[in-house]
Amino acid sequence: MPYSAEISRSNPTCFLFLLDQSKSMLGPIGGGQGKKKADAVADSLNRLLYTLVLRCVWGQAVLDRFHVGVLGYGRQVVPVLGGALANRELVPISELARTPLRVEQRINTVDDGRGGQVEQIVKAPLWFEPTGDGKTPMTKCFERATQILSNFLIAHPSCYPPLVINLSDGEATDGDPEEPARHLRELASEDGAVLLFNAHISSLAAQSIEFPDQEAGLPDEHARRLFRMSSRLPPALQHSARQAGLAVTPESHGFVFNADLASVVRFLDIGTRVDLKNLR
Amino acid sequence: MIEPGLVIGYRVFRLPRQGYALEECQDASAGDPRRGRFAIADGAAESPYSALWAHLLVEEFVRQNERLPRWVNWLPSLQERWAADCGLALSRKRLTETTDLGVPWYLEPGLTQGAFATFLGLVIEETSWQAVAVGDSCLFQVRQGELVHTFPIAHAADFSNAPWLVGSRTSPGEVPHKKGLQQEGDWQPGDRFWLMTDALAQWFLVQVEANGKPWLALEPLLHIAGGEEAQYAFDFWIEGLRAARRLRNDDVTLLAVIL
Repeated sequence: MPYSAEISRSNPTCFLFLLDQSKSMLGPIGGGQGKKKADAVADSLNRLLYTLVLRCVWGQAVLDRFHVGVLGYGRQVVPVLGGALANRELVPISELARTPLRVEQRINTVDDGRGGQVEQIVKAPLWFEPTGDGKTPMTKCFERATQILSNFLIAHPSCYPPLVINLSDGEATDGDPEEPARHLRELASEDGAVLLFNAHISSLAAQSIEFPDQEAGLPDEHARRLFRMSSRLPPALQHSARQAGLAVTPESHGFVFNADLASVVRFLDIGTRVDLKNLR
Repeated sequence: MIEPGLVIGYRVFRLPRQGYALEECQDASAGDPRRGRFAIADGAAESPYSALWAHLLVEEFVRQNERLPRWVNWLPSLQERWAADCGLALSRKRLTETTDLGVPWYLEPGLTQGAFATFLGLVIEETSWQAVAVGDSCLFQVRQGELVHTFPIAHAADFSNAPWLVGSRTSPGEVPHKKGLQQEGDWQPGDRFWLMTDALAQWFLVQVEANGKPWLALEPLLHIAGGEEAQYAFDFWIEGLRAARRLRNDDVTLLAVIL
């Protein structure tokens, strides 16, 4: 059965995030109270990387169950992890854990265990900064992602299939991305095909369409193309989506259209869940 | 205390989950046969320093003088030792206010919650025994080829992913004190107590529910002379069960008390 391989140090999987860094990403995100799309997405993605690291903590170690990369596309197509990880396409998660760009502090309000609440300062690591410049070379980015994952699959032929999440607010400006997206989805390990999910980020707090299961009913050709470019949700992720209260079917695609801030966060969370049964 | 001159034997077997090294095993066990005290614990690996916590729990339990020590009596000092051994010389209050625990950022969320472990303690007295349990580490008493006690889990279906746990930062009053988490009985020469962590305990109960006698597979391990050879036989046997998918891939500890 596909999508059932164990995810472990000896058989890691991979998460690759493709991040639109074109100029339009400097506009406001829907539901973000004036926050720029670039800032909101960087914030969500940095928090997701934090969560992914915590999922690999074992005793006092971080197990390299995941390899992670973030590829930006705007003025150029380039890996965007910063600091010591600059120019690295994929990084084992223990290395990601050890070398954030910097660690900020956040204040959380938590129960003090005596019926009251107390403010707690927690560390918030960041791995890259938001930016927005140039056009939207999404097609080139898919081609680069295909190269990166081909190499990963040569090194890890029996891995749980890698997941690619593409986050963008617009259409490709460098040709039709459908073909390179198909090439990406055709890559496979012994456990199944690479998953490509697409999130379309909206400036409006409009109704988002999460995990649709058919092209018909989508508002325009751009939405329909992104739908076609997105993989079907494997059963474990259908289950995760249902747990999050979303109505999905076996035909649902890993795609959200008109995503506001809340649906971007939810999309990232559901997309990167792995069945605990697969983790070792 | 046990009768002077009574000889209790015990043996421990331990195997980490497949793909992990022995030092990564989060289970712990301890025994003091002269005092008739034995314990096993299964640390939750998702929280840092849980193996340490599991070790502290079992070692302190076999050292205790109180027959079944009350949690409020022995937990607070143990929790302080855990914090000190982790290099966290801080109280609950300071932990919520501090900005730097001196550990990597990714260990902080777990350390704030504390470490967690299941616990099973057994005390053998002159003619009777008592046990205390938190979570899904189990005890099985076998007498003359029959299973006479199962504690604290009675059915294979009752194992879950969220067992009760003793926390290194949980208020001792909150440690579950539900009825049924203490058990007592009598014993006779020739009896066996099999203490085991959850994966093996679940396998054991599945066999029992299929009218099997799983202790017959364990008993030969006690008749292998050398400790190393016996452990080797245990490893071989467990790996076979895992390969046949009859045993979850988890850390396994088996502690046998031989009367």
